[in-house]
Parts: sequence; structure tokens; C-alpha cells
Amino acid sequence: MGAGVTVDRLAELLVSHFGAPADRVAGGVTFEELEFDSLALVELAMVAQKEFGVEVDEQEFTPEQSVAGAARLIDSRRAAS
Amino acid sequence: MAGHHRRAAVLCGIGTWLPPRVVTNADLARQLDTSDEWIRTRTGIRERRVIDRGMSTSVLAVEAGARALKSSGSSEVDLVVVATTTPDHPCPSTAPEVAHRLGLTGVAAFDLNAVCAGFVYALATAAGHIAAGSAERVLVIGADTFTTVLNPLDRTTLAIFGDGAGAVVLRAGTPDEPGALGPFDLGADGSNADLLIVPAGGSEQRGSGEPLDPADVHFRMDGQPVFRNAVTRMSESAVKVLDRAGWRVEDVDRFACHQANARIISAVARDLAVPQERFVLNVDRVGNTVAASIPLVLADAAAAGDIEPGHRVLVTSFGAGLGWGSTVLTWPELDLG
Repeated sequence: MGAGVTVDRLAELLVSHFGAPADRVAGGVTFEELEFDSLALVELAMVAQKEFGVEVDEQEFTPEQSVAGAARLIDSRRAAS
Repeated sequence: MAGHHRRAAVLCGIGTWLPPRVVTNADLARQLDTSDEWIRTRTGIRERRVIDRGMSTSVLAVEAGARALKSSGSSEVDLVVVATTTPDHPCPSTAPEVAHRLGLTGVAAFDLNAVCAGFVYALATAAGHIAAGSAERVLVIGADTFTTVLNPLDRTTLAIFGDGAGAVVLRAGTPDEPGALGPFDLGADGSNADLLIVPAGGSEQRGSGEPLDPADVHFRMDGQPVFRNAVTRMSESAVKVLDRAGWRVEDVDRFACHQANARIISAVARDLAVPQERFVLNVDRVGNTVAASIPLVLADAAAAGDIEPGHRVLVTSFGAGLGWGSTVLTWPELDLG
């Protein structure tokens, strides 16, 4: 799965699972801008693990990170595994 | 042995008690660097109850226990189990004194400590005594005054926890009647003991020969991994107990999760793909009451008509230890006082 596919799937999850507004979710948007707090980021790590089959520690997604940045982290884990 | 002769533990009474003093988020914001909005968005909690000077866990346990006995229609039991992590004393256990004050002197009584999973562990223990024929009627009380182990400067834990007690009476019956406790799933993971801990006050610190660090007498928790473990363990345990009961997730009318944090409950609902409306909630009014949480939310939802007789109810809890447990029952007709 290429980076574009991961970021698209991640964006879908942010809307369907977390209720983020669809018109605001884009690769360059940070989790802070989407009003994701520390607990939402923990849940994101859990959902990413289920969806993409990669281990993501609860502190690895951060408020300053962009959706595209999170997708890159997921892809790097997939490449490593 | 024929299946229809199997004994089951049947819920036949419920009662609760909360200390009268309400501490709102605004009250906390006057003493600490926090706000009503911050607490509500992170936890879903608006207020909690806190004991007054001179109260202790046994006081709450006796009040809830007396109400559960009255609800059951009889004050006779042959076992009293008190699930608590904040006993009146390190020794002896609190249950004998609670039993004595309930007029049950001489009846078997002991404490059970499985922290926030304590009530489900106590239900499983009581059900085991009934199944084995070593008890006919059991009073199971979950009671905690967890505010007594909180750091008065820790805005996070002070916002989360509250004091309270809830109790049920279980009687011997058959597995097919309303109120019969279904299969159980219980589990524990001591490799994560340090995620939720009061470091001092036990034999490890007392036996260490080291001077006591005053900070270690207070509860501390590591919020993010706790959140993750809570959601995962309760979801997995719910799936396991449903499998053992032969129920599908969509058969469940109401889910009663340990009331630690509304955000955890929402995440469990999403993980199980169940509408949030099927999850009963009172954490907004009581906070995390540790072992009292499950009976408090069940009694509250039943009194509000949110849980009705005939509803298929799944109970699941998670807490320090780590420990977790789940069971199912069809809600019976109960005297709600």
C-alpha cells in the first residue's frame, strides 16, 4: 500500500471512527487542528494497529503531527515488519 | 449430573449509598489549575461525592448493604464479600465489621481486592460459593473511599475519582431464570502493575528499610497506556463472555462498563461497533468509584428505567492490577427502594 493509499484510508477513519469533520481532514492538517487530545491520539494508535496491522506506541502520534505524517509513520512500520 | 440441576447465582436485591458531599468541577477549579471544560471533555465527569471527616469505607458499605438486603426482601445471608481497595484498616479486613453492623455477626465475611474489577471478581467468587453449595444467599458489596489515597495536588486523579458504595444480594437459583449470572470472564496482567499504583503502605515499602517518600503514599497513574489497556481489555473480555454465553453482541440491550471515564466507554462502544446509547452511564455524577462503580451504574440505570426487566445486560470492568472481568445476565424484577 503506497503512502497515498494510507493517508486516504487514515483520513476516512478520522471521519468515520472519530467524527472529524470531513471538509477539514486533509494530509497537511495536524491532529491539534482537528482537536484531537491525548486520549484521542491513544485511540488512534489502537485503531491504526487494528486497521493497518502495525504496532504504534500510544505516545507516537502527537498533536503537532499532520495526518500525512501519521500515514508516513504507519507506512514505515509496515515496511519494517 | 443433569443440566437442570445446576445451581446459579441469581440477583435478587440491589442497593447503593453515596456520601452527601458533592464536589463539582468548579469546586476543583477553585483549588487547582484546571477547569470544568477541561475535566468534562477529558473525562465526561461533572461532579463526584467525597466523604466527610469521620467517614470510612465501612460506613458506605453498611449503608449500601442494608439497602440491598431490604431490596432482596430478607436480611439473612450466609456470606458477606466486600470488594474494596480502601479498607478501613490494613488489618483486619472490613467485611467482618460491616457484617456485624448489619446484624450478621457470625456470618462468613471477607474482603476482596481487585481494585476497579473488584465487584465483578466478587460476583464471580460469590457465584462460585453458591454453585459449590457453600452458600445459599450472599451479600456482595463494592465500596471505596478512593479519595483518601489521592494526592491533594494532582488535578488529574482528583477530577476522576469519587467515593461510594453499591451492593447486591445473590441467591441460589437456576441458570434459566431472570437475574441468573451468566458465565464469567476474568483476567489479570501483573506486568503492568505500575500503571496504576499506590507505591507505599504495603509490605514492599515497609520491608524495604528505606525511609518513606511521602509522595509514595498517593495513587498515581499513567493515563495513556491505562486508556489503551482499559479499552482493549474490556472489549476483548466482553467478546469472550458473549462467546461463552452464546450471545451475539447485537443481542445485548445494555452494556454496563466500569465508569472510569466517559471517553473510555465511548471507545469501547466504537471498538465493539455498538451504538453509544446501549452503554449506561453515570460517571458524570459520581466519577470513578472503583469497586462501587458497577452496582452504582446498574442501580442508577434501573431506577431511571434505562435498564428494564428482561433486558440482556453485559457487565465489564477493568482496573489496576491490571485486572478485568465480565459477566452477563437478564435483568430481573427488583425492588429498587
